[in-house]
Amino acid sequence: PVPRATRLPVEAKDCNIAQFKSLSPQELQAFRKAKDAIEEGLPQKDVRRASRLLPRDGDLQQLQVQERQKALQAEVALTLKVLGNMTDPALVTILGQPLHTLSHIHSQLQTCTEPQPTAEPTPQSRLLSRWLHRLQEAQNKETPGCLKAYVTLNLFRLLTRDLKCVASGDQCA
Amino acid sequence: RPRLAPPRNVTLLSQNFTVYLTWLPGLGSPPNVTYFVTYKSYNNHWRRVEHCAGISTLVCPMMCLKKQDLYIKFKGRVQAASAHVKSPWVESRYLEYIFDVELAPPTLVLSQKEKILNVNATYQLPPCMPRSLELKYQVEFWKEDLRSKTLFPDTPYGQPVKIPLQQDARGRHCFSARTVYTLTHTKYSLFSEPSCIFLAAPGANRAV
Amino acid sequence: MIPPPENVRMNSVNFKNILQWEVPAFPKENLTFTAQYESYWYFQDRCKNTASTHCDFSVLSKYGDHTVRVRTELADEHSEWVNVTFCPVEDTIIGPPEMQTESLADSIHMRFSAPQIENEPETWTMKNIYNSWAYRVQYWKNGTKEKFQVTSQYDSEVLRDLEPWTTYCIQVQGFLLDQNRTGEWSKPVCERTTSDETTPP
Repeated sequence: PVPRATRLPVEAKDCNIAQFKSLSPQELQAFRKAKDAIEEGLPQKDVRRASRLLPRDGDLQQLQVQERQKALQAEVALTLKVLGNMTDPALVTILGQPLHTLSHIHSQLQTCTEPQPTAEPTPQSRLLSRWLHRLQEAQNKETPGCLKAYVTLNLFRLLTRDLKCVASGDQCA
Repeated sequence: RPRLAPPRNVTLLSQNFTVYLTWLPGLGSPPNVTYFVTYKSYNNHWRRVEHCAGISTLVCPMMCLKKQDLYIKFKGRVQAASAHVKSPWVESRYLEYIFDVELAPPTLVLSQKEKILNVNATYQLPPCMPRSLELKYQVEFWKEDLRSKTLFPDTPYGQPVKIPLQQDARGRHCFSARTVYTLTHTKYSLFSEPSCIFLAAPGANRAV
Repeated sequence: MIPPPENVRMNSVNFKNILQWEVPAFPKENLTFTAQYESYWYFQDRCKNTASTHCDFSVLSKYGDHTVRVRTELADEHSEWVNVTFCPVEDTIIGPPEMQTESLADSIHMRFSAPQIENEPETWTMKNIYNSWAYRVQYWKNGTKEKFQVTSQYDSEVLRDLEPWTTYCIQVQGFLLDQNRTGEWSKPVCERTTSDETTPP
């Protein structure tokens, strides 16, 4: 199939990230089925190498509320890019709905992180810079296999912990 | 080289929010056999479980281990040893905590205020349990001598259940509660042992 | 030229998403239909060469816009696709909640439960999807026209200081505060109040 990564997700009309405080069990079950299927084919060397890239516990919570959205958006964008480039027909069928959900989350985050026209540009914190640098470096240096292992290992941390934290706004401490 | 019989039925299981590795002695094991346990995350190498090195019991707690990442599946293995002779390692299957965790019922704390009974759930949770796990609980309430029970809808852990008391709400009333956790499916704990109290003067506050 | 299906529409209640259409006027018999949804990469069959005039799309992700389509087929020929764009979380109809009522003296205690969702566990209801979910209650004295309304974000509510020994009828609907969006009303339930004194007038 023609990878849809070339097709940018439709811009969300307004920022409503709170709706993702908890994804529905049916959606999470679709993600789990995809994760398990991908994990079966991951070489151990990629899995080991990818582990070093995983965010440490509490990294996201330490960021400011507004910056968490940027951090999560970068994480979701990488996940979409890697999983969106899958070509194995068996995986493509399983990944259809999960990637549809992820691209909607991504478009919501894009809307939420768009700077307001009147807002003063705020300097990026060191923590956020480190988070974004980690992902950028990974894409520059790591193999596709390692990136696939990384997004798979990180998938449910992203969907249950990080997405919930961002969706909860300042209630996530 | 002589080898000890390997442990049998090596199982990694969850119970009451925590995780254990359990096994049975190998056939023909000598009485003074001891065991060594290690664990491996899907993305890591085997690591010793210090508190289960040279133990004689048949169970090893596997929660809040060093470098453990409960968002990633892990497995355990056990080896028997006796008089410098060791058995082969026997591995368990993988366990994914956020999917495979098994629940415990809550402890209920009650307080009565005029015609409303407030019921709150409390838990003893492992310190390393991921906070993203959303626990809810269901309370069952009935008058001891009556059969009909009222099951209150799921209430998020941290929020009370408010029970309106009838005009003649005297005598012994009983409670029981279970935990509800939903990720890809809904899981329930067992109901807690029923406990009954005598509805008396308002303002009474007690753990059940 | 094979005509496309007619009157194609998505009928969705509590995320039970049924695409429905009608058979076009066409002289020949045994027309069939294929319905698809656009997955992340391309269109995927959901109902292939079906003779029926509906197809269940409840598997669709609840979030974001989906394009679903259906066409008519006869042997090797087929009609144009008829496309429908559908966003489950915005477009699904909110079905009626359930309600239990109990009369206590001059008040009526109500307990609500939100509608269940197709393909979801019973503990995951419409209330879980919508953050601003609330229950809007409408009640009136049986036989009168004047209706009163109460809105509650909790699963229970109490109608207080009602007239004793009087029958009140109550309906409830789901209500999204942040979108001012309402669901279907439940069937009315009527309950008779008593009073603090035990004997009726």
